[in-house]
Amino acid sequence: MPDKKHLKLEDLLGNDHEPPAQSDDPLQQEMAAAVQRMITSAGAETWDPGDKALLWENIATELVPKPPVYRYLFPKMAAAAVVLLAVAAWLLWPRPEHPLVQFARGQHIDSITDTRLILGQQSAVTLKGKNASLVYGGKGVTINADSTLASAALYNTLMVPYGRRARLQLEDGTVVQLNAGSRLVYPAVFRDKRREVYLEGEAFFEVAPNAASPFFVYASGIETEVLGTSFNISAYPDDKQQSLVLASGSVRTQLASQRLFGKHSRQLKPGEMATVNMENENMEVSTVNIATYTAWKDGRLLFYSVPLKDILKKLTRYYNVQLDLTSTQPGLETCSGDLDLEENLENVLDVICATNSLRYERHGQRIILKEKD
Amino acid sequence: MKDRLTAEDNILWNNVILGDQQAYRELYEMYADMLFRYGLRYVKDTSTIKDCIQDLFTSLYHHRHNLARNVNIRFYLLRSFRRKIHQVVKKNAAVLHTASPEEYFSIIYEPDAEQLQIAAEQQQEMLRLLARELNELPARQKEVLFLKFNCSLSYEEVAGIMKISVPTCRTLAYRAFRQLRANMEKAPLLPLMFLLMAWLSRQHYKF
Repeated sequence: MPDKKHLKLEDLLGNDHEPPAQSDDPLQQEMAAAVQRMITSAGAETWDPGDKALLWENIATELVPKPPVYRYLFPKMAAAAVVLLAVAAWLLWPRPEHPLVQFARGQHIDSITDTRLILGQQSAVTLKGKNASLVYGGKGVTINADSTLASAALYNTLMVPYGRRARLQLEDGTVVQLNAGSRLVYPAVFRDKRREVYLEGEAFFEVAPNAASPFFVYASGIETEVLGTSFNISAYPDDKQQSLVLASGSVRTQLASQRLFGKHSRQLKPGEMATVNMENENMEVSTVNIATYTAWKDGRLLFYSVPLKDILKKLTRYYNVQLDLTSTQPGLETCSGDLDLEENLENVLDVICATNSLRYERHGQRIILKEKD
Repeated sequence: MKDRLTAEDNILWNNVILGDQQAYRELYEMYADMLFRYGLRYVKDTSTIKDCIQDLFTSLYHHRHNLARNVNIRFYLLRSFRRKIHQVVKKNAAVLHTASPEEYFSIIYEPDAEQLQIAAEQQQEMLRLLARELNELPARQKEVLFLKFNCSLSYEEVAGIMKISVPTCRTLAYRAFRQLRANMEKAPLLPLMFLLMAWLSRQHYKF
């Protein structure tokens, strides 16, 4: 019998490098050798040497470098480069601006006190009343539901000064409500495949659906492709932000600087607002209360947790007076409320002052809001 | 001795990476037989085995730029070859059986005829008994034994090829012998078994 300590299988098998056990019994050694042979000779079939050599011949023919593919690759690479260059050129080439946008940007803007309709470059029509109404039809444009005007010019412009609003029905049935201090440039008749308008200021659009002719709204910072819907755009040149709030339907919007509706455009769902920061050209999408952004068209101003100076800015446009705030007391950064803009300015200011412990002084066209003494 | 990566192996492998045809031929001469026998454990059809060997060498050549520098050639070839054989087994067996390819490993242990002639009657009987017991081991245990003792791999390498942990691998081998011993205990073979196991554990040093 071998030594006891060699009998442990764990010792024998648990390690690749253990020294082996030994036995002195020649008979046992002989038997062990026989079993060794049994294990190692199992599965030791011989392979016909000729067959083996033949397989090597087959393998050897495959062990050659692949044909130099670059020769065949070159025309493809050249073609790819040409395509790439073409795409890059198309994307980066300074494109002539859209004629409508070009026209709108080059327009000379007088400071006006009454709503004004400009036909083409020259002839202007003054529209009386706080809420002018224009309806485009087959014969021309009907103003305030009485006089009809032939609108021969290619582009028409509606300018709404501070203190005024306007309702405009375009030739395709789309209704645009323009807020105070806004300008809309549009063709008298939509002749192109795309219906396109240019907006500065704020407007609420109810676009007449027409799948064959998409509707585009251009503003200085935000461009919107409309897929049949209603929405509010605020794009005042003196605001740091431009925004679009979608009330219903679907729109696709992007930065005006992007030019093409590509992968950077965002499709909005109702209740979402796209905000473009004009300083860093960043677009963000958030969910908002629609009414807050569209109440103006019904003569209301709804606001929730908004700095008072922003509200005063809106009132300045709406009533066409200069409103200044000198107070820096806390709490004025987050005002909430619901103002009826059909009221006269004094009543509105009374409400604001009462809720914020302020008082106001009038100096002609300038009103200063101060802390209460 | 511990380090089985000899200098010649390294030179050969570097030439394989460089794409030297002579190196591939040398590799083939050294390992084709072993691969062929390993293949026979899974498939009886030699043309399938030859396809796998050819596939192994040509893909080695075409992917030579991605090969690691310091590898155990024997281990590397067996592992790649096993993968190819398993793919074939899986493809062929998919319709008939659901067993994993490992279950198809088969080997037959036989007492050496010459040995039987010269051995005493009692020893002959013991050898036959042992062969029978070896043959009844499960496929996975047989494969551990085959890779370890017929292909001269360490437990670590066997574990790497069979995708099991080293302890599992040892347990499989251990279990194989424990089972053998349990079955053989009635016969006066106990001392022989210990000797055998001593040999099995020593096998490794021969390479």
